[in-house]
Amino acid sequence: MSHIRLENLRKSFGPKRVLDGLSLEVRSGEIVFVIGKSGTGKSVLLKHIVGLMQPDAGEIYFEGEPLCGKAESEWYRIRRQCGMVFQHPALLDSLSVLENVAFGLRAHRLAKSESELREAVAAKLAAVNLGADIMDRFPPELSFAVQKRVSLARTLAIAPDVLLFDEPTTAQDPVATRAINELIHRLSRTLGVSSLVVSHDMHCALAIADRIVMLDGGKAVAQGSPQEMLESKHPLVAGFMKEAKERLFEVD
Amino acid sequence: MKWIRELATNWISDLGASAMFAWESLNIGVRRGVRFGSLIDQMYHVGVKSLPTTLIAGGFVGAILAIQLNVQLRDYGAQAVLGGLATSTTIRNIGPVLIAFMLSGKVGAYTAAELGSMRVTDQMDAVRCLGANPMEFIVVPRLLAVILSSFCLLVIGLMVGIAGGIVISQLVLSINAVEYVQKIPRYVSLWSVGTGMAKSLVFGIVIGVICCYRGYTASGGAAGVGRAVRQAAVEVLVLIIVLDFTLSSLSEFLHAFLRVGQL
Ligand SMILES: Nc1ncnc2c1ncn2[C@@H]1O[C@H](COP(=O)(O)OP(=O)(O)O)[C@@H](O)[C@H]1O
Ligand SMILES: [Mg+2]
Repeated sequence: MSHIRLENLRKSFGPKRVLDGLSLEVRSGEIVFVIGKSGTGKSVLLKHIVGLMQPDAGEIYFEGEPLCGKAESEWYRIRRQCGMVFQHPALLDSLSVLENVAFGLRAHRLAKSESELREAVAAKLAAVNLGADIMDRFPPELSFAVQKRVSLARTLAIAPDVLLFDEPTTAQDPVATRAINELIHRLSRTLGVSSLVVSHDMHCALAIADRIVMLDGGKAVAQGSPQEMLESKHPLVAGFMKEAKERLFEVD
Repeated sequence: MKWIRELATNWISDLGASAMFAWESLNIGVRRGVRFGSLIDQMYHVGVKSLPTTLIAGGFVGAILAIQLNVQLRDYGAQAVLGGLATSTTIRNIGPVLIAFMLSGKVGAYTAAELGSMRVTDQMDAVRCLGANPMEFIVVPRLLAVILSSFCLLVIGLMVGIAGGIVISQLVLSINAVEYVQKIPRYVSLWSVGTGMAKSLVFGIVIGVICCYRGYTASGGAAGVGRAVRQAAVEVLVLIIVLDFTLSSLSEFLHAFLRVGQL
């Protein structure tokens, strides 16, 4: 069964056309990487899937169920199953790290007691390579990279079936990058979580993606397995792969 | 005049949208309640921190009015009524307007900028994705805090304004403070005080609603936040002046209609 399917999605902001007939599919348990130049609408694409933006035309299916035109009250359930990690860390500055990560748990009443809540938060922080000592700090005290990982932990906390990542490893150090990639991989392989990952990190994409989709001009212009993409003749894809290839050879 | 028509249409639709926003906030506030802790927190942030500025502004408004009115009254040898006139003008008209102007810069711009930057850095959307309503969780407590703080600050500012008039008369104008104060009840009826309070409340609501609305609907990165703040500031200032006129007229009309007490 297919988890998410986008069909012919179109979206313009004023005269500016951002999505122009985009079709895309993420099957159950699959890791799909979306790559493309800055400003091609990758973030806009993710926001459509969780109903933060409405398409001008086209349809989005989640577990076969069409999503467009749903009321906000129905999105509540869908967003519980389909977690979003934003490009900005988007943490609430007035809440501690603990409260930020616990936000979804409280909103969905997923923890029975305060101690259970704390435990769940600590576990999620550990999953993104952060210690429990960070729990009582506040977001403005933390670096962008750490905030971003806290934000990841916050989305993981509600245990969604589908995860949408907007540049999860941008600005992260190599150790954290590896931890995040392994996490995405593990979630997919052990829990069957499907992931749609927007990323500029070709290295990660080649390492863990089942499929890579190249976005340009509001459409998916090329897609395939990492191997297929590496061998692709499409000029844009080749450009993206070139740098990754060179680094691969360096390592080898 | 096409551009005038466009301007008017824009203003009316913006006002309508702000009113809808206020209505939705009220609805959520009434249905879901407002968390007390969060409200107190916000009131401290926007209210208590603006107290010093309010005290300075309030004191100077009272002092300026006393000095200005003294010049005119002296020509007619009517300095004896200075206390009454200065106080009445302070609390009914100039005081609320000037202090509200200042609060729109301090409390209003702060709130619009804060909500705006939360919007453009996806914090509002993140709250939605985690299963909460950002209106309920973020906006309504701030809106209520801004309204309550603005109202309290205005009332405090007006009281300090009265005190400013007294002090300046004694120190600079050599008018005995006791005499000055004795004239106040003769010229300042309960009606005047009520008008001042009503204006303070309305101005507080204007600052809260417009600034929260503009911040909440900001878009387009840091530049968008700047745009939202500027737009909020312009709208609040214009609305305060227009509403001051409207409320003054309404107050006079009602007063004549009901014939309560004296001027
Ligand atoms: N809320 C919005 N209003 C207007 N334009 C927007 C909005 N969100 C995104 N855009 C525009 O859509 C385009 C794609 O943005 P985005 O999806 O953030 O790109 P990226 O692929 O780098 O993530 C950009 O040109 C941006 O200016
Ligand atoms: Mg983006």
